[in-house]
Amino acid sequence: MTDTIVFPGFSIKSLIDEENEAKDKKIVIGPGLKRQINDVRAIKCGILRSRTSNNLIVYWIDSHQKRYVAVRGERVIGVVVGKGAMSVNVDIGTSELASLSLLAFESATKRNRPNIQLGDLVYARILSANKDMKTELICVTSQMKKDGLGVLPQGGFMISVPLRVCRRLLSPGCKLIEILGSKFKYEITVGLNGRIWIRSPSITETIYIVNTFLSVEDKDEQGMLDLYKQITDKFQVIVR
Amino acid sequence: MQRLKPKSIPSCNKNFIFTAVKDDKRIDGRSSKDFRKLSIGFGLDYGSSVVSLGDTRVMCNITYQIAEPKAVKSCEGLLNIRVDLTASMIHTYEKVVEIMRMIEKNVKDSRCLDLESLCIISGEKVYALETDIIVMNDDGNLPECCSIALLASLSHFKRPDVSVVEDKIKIHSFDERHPIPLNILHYPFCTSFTFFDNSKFVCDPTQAEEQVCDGYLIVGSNIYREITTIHISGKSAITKDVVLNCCQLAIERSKFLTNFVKLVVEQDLKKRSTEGAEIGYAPLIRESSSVLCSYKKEEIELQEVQENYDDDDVIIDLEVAQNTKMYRYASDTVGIGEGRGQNWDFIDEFQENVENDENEDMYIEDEETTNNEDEPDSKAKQFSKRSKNSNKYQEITVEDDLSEEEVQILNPPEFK
Repeated sequence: MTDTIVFPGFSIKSLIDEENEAKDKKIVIGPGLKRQINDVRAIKCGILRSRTSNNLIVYWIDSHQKRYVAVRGERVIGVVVGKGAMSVNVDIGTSELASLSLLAFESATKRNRPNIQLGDLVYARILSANKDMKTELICVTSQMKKDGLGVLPQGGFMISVPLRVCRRLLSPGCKLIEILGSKFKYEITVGLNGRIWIRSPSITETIYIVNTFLSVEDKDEQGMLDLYKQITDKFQVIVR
Repeated sequence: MQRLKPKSIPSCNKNFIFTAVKDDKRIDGRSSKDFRKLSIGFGLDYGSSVVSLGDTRVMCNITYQIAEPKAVKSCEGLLNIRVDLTASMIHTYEKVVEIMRMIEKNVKDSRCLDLESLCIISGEKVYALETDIIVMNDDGNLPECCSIALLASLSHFKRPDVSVVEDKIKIHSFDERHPIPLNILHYPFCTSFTFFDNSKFVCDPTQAEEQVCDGYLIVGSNIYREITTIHISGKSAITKDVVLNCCQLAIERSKFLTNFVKLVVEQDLKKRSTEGAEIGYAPLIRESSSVLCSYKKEEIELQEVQENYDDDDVIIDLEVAQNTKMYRYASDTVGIGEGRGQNWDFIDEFQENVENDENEDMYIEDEETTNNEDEPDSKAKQFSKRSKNSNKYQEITVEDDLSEEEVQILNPPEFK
């Protein structure tokens, strides 16, 4: 039943029942699905996917989506668009701006504030995502360590890609970042809101890397393997 | 009407685009005078077209009705152009009006359409054409894309034949009599150029480039080397030479576009006349053609290396990667950029070099330089070479100092 194409309004209860009878597991409904009283319906078009773990089974719809919906705990890249006395407004690709407290940085105090300018990029974690309230961001972990979060360094280039490209790049099966890393020297930050920031020493390399990431979207498994091969073959280095 | 929020641009993207433009590079791998891939598709009805220019996609539909002409121009048909820019989120209201006026003025004021042929009874009945341009996706260069869509639709459109019998109009259906195409006298296409500092400009800007640019210039021109519209906006200081240069490019571009539009319209009409051929948008989607589906980006070439084995000299032709440092590892292997060798002290040295990139003498100053006969004085292409650690690698820099103006005038670019 999984990998079926579904349309909005499509009832998938029968599909779930069919598969679940044998397994008798807890069902978790993920993005793209909505539970009505006795029914489960798709609310966007895409491919129905499922994943089974110990005693539960997760269903979600995999689709092309560019608009980010904030989820608590996810790490995102935001652009600083407004500055207040104690907080900055950050555009993370959601319909509304998110707020990032200036005290939510490592070793930040009321006197010692981080230096944030308009237009800077911040890599932050979503502290709270609520449909009725402003999304709150934070740049420290629960141990008050920065752990890679914070203002991204100057330079580089940020691209916006569909959300699933970012998820794909971060999935353990994807070797693209490593393979490019074996050939080029570059820095990368991938936010789950569909934004990738890349910095490498030369403009030409940045352009090449950026375009490699942009080409990932319409590639299937085989296409990715071809891409890996293409990169490794193209830039062979013989060190004598 | 609720508008979508514009995309915010990080300052790093702005800086990147500005520095890249100085080196004649762009983020999508084009050079400053390259245009994106253009494709045109036609719908089932006459006068319905979709044009995609890179990721910018515009649809144009033409409908007609029979109406009364204006009192001043009693024997001329009417042409109404409407541009729907609601899908584009970056523009303010003023900008939207500016673009709409631009597209409308370019076609109407250049009188490219023979409106008199649309008259049925002078002073009483004329054809009124309604053209609706709908922007489906905005990735920059809307004026050009909209004008292509408009002219493609106009040249594709056919109106039914009419006959007048004793002040009564009879409209013949397409089965009854052959439909009549419109009379298009010339094809005025808009082309936009975006300026960055030091009057550097790029053709066919993407949305990101439009958002960070200093100013822009829109030139409408046709195949007869006539400028139909010219529009400069923004805060950049542009000299006369640059404007003339842009006009030259716009004329070349419109020559290409005129032939392209004529060709695709002809192909589509031929397809319609053959039996069993599929027309309309549905087959385009099935074939996942670049008109309606996301277009396949051409693979970016990082560098083009041509080697010549005459007396151990390496001649490197860098089309894309100018001013990039290359490291030669073996006779047939050339590396680019950092992260290649295992030799960390050389990377540190390299970074120093990057910092003093302005200093042209830096390669000469290095102590271990073996061949120091290359003095970077001449203005032609230079290869300053350095071999170190007993030919482990050689570093080659290429500097292209040809003046931009010369290149532009002598070699009008080939459009892809």
